[in-house]
Amino acid sequence: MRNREFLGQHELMVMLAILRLGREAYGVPIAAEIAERTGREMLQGSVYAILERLEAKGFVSSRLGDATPERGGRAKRYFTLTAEGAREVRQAQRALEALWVGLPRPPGTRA
Amino acid sequence: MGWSTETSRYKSVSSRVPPRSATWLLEQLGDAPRFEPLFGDLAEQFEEGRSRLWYWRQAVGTLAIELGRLSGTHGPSFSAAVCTGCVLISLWHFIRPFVFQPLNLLYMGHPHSTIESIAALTSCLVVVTANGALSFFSVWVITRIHRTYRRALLMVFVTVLTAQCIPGIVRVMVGSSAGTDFAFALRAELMKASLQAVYTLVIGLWVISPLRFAKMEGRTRIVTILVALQVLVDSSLYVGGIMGALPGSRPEWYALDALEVASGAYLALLLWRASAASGTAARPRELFMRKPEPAA
Repeated sequence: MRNREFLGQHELMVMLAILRLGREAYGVPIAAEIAERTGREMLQGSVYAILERLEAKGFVSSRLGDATPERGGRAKRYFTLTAEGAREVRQAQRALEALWVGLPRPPGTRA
Repeated sequence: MGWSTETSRYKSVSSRVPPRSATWLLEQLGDAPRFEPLFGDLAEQFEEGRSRLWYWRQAVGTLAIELGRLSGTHGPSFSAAVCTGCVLISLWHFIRPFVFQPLNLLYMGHPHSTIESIAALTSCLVVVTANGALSFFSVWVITRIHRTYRRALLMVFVTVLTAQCIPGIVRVMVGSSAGTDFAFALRAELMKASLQAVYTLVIGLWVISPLRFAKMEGRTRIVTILVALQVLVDSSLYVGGIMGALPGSRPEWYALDALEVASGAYLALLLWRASAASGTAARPRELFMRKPEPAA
């Protein structure tokens, strides 16, 4: 088996949010998407720390957008998944699904 | 999209200015190009109606995350630098009595002739100069061990040095009863701690700043000259007091000491600002002050 680093839960959430948002994925909507879908509000700084880590691993790439007045003249940084990042997400999905298969229902949950 | 419906309720709010103190905290992160999109995101959400508490939480949280990240990458060299500085200062405190004992003997007694007075004054100046040289050397060494966050390193080093004076102050407060001796001893300890902190900071900022005297702005140059003159005058008065030519303790001297600390602190502030403005990377402050570009 290849010795490789697995994606963390937060990393996976951020990558899935980027996939869902498509070309509009920058810090604010990524955090909002995660909050809306999972009910977990992440710090904006935390989102960027994860994005930087993912970019260093080569799973996402970024480009600077236009500066807007409501952002005090600062540009947005848009993120997209790289081919390697997309492969990593699919691999994480397969791994999680494999782990769920045949698992007895946790006590207290309904079918 | 989900997020747009989430934030659309904030749209009607007019232009708002984020809390200045929280913004200042964020500015301390430095490295502007990296943080520019993050600052923009926070400004955008605050503009859309997020609360001041939310902004504060983001600023403090972001700072904590960044400090955690930095402590992993730069922590060892940072700690090594602080420890080295403390070892150098402790060594100096240990060997100073042995090295300068003959000089101390010269100026501790009351001189009876002009030659003795000159010798006393010279020996005192040698000790003061040696103290300054050691501060310079220790700051130079620690800023060579850790080069990335030198101003933060300097602040921590000064804090640790000042903290070392706390036991002496507590000893005076606990051991002495109220009275002239108590006030004199307490004042001496407090002044020692304050002057050490202020002058280490000034010397340190001087060492790490790429700006030299000729290139400094006029106000900084004037304050530097005034502080140097003040040190010279206070040292002369101190020597005069030791040699018996002047009274050892007078209310005016308290005011002079306080003035020396205040002017030294002001000089440190000016040098701090100068070193921040002359940094190689663009500062976030400059980005915050950038005029908004017109909407497309």
